[in-house]
Amino acid sequence: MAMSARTSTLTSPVPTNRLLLLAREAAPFVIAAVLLFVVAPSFLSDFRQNLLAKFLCYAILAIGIDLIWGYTGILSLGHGVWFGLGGYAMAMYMKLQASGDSIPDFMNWSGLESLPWFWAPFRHAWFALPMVMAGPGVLAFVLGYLVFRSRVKGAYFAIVTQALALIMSIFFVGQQKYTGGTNGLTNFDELFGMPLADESTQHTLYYITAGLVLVVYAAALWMTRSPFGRLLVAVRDDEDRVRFAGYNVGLIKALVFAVSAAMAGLAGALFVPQVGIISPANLGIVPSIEFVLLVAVGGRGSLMGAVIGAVVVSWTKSTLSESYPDTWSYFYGALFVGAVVLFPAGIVGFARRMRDEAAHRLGGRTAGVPAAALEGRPSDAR
Amino acid sequence: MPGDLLRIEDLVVSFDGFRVLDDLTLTLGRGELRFLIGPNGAGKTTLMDVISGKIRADSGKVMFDNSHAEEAVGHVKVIEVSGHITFEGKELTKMREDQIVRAGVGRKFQTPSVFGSLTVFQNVEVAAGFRDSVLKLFAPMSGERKERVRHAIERVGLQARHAVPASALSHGERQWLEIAMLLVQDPRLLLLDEPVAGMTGRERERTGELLHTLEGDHSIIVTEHDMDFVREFSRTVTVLHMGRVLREGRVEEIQADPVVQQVYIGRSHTTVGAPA
Repeated sequence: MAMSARTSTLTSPVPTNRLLLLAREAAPFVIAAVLLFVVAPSFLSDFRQNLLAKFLCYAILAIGIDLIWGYTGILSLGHGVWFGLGGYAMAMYMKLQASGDSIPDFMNWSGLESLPWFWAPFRHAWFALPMVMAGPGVLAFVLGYLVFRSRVKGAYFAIVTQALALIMSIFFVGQQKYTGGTNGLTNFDELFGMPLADESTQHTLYYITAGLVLVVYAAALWMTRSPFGRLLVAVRDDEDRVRFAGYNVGLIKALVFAVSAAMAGLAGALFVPQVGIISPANLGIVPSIEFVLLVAVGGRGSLMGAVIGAVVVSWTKSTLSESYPDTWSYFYGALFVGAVVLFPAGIVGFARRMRDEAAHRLGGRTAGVPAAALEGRPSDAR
Repeated sequence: MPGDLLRIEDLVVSFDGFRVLDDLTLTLGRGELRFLIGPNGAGKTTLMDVISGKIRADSGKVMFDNSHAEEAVGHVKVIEVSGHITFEGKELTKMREDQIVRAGVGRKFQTPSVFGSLTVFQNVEVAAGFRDSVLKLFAPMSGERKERVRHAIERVGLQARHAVPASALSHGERQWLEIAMLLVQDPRLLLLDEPVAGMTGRERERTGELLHTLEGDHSIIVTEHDMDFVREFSRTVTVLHMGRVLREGRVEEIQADPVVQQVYIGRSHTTVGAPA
């Protein structure tokens, strides 16, 4: 992709073909914007477009997972927690809007008389909306810093995050009067005065989600291209060396964990008004693992791979479940096993290999320097 | 002495009660180049570990590299550290490894460790940003920084390889890359653990010459097994044996010393300073 571009920025302080570089950088955004804002709305039915909006929520989440897993080499099997917390923050706001002056219905059923103190601020959009990202982000930073400071890493960290997902889902089920228990939060009416049942509202949500995918993608791209991005890859390659290069590795890891969690929170918040419900099932172990697989199938270490993986896998899941209502989950499972066994570098990794081999056969410029190394893709399976 | 950069006093490091460093006392002057030799197990790498913070009093366990592989199997060591390591008035035994680096002590490991999926330039770039705040790391690199990175790469002669991923470098080139990563940080003290291991004769020459251009501006401690290299490039040599300083002096005096000869011959049937 940007291989020759990067090489030239290294050799000369001022790239001679700056316009060309800019065009190459901008091209994917223009193509994606046209696809999302022009092509998809004119060809997809309302139903399909709503589905696509959901998949785009997963794309935002997948970009976050790719930052921490693909670039930094930290496997988190608990991102359902951050997705769920973002979703609950949004749901609490909508639930309070729907309840008017009374307390939410499920609290009544559980015998609560007044609104709990931590619910009260979620009445206001100015509090609830920032909390969508700040809540998961801050919590992930604090937890992450404590865990990374003790140098817990690899499989041990993955287990910690699994435990977190389990604890959270049990906690949300158990605290029924505060969280709505197993049923979660549902029966919302409107969002900022727009009735959720209206097609126009759903269309608006689609455009907001599509726009935010581009924003999050651009932010992640900027991050990975900055010196901080190189540092993330360095942590993945040799964490101890980064420490002996004078960096506080625990802090760096906690920071990228927080950014990743905030993106997951945003995804969850966009998800809730589209499906109309959030429940503990969304923040447990199973969705957490599915989230990681989105990136694995798309190709970790590539932001585009994360987006492609999220959309392709979700689309496949939806199509399979429509066509084979009874047996689809077997096909779905087979897809994952097949993808991981046959294409360990994912869709994007496979495409790159094909391209490199073609270039090699043609004796192209890429011969001799593996593109994987230049683009900072993972060289080991962790 | 006021001219001392590093003072190590009564340093004891024990693993499960066994004293790897035993009341070691050593001082290093500003700008001095010091070679550290000694038979296997004398404590050379442990000394570097404890200066650079890899081993700390409260660390409880060592993160093992190959030099400790045989001891690494399945148990957590009880590590005790006592004594003082003073570097420019700072007590290093109380500091974390990244703090020690920012205080001005750089370390090159025995097995070269570089970031394989980054290019040579990017490796040095990562090292160069070590004092930046996290926020500054999000901004693009300044021209001045790029110039410093390029300069460090030129000093080790890797400029033709700057865009090559580090995983594609030869062993000797990796050693140089790691040295460049130290140089760009401009540390007052460099700890080089066997810097010429795996290098060809010419590469050794160049590394030795590099050491001589660095001394004066930087203090350097080099551990080395290759006695030819030590003979050619050393100034003062310190011999470690069983965690203590056995002798200190010029290389000719050291090699002629009957006690030193006894130590080497007594432990293995090889000549002084033969590789492990």
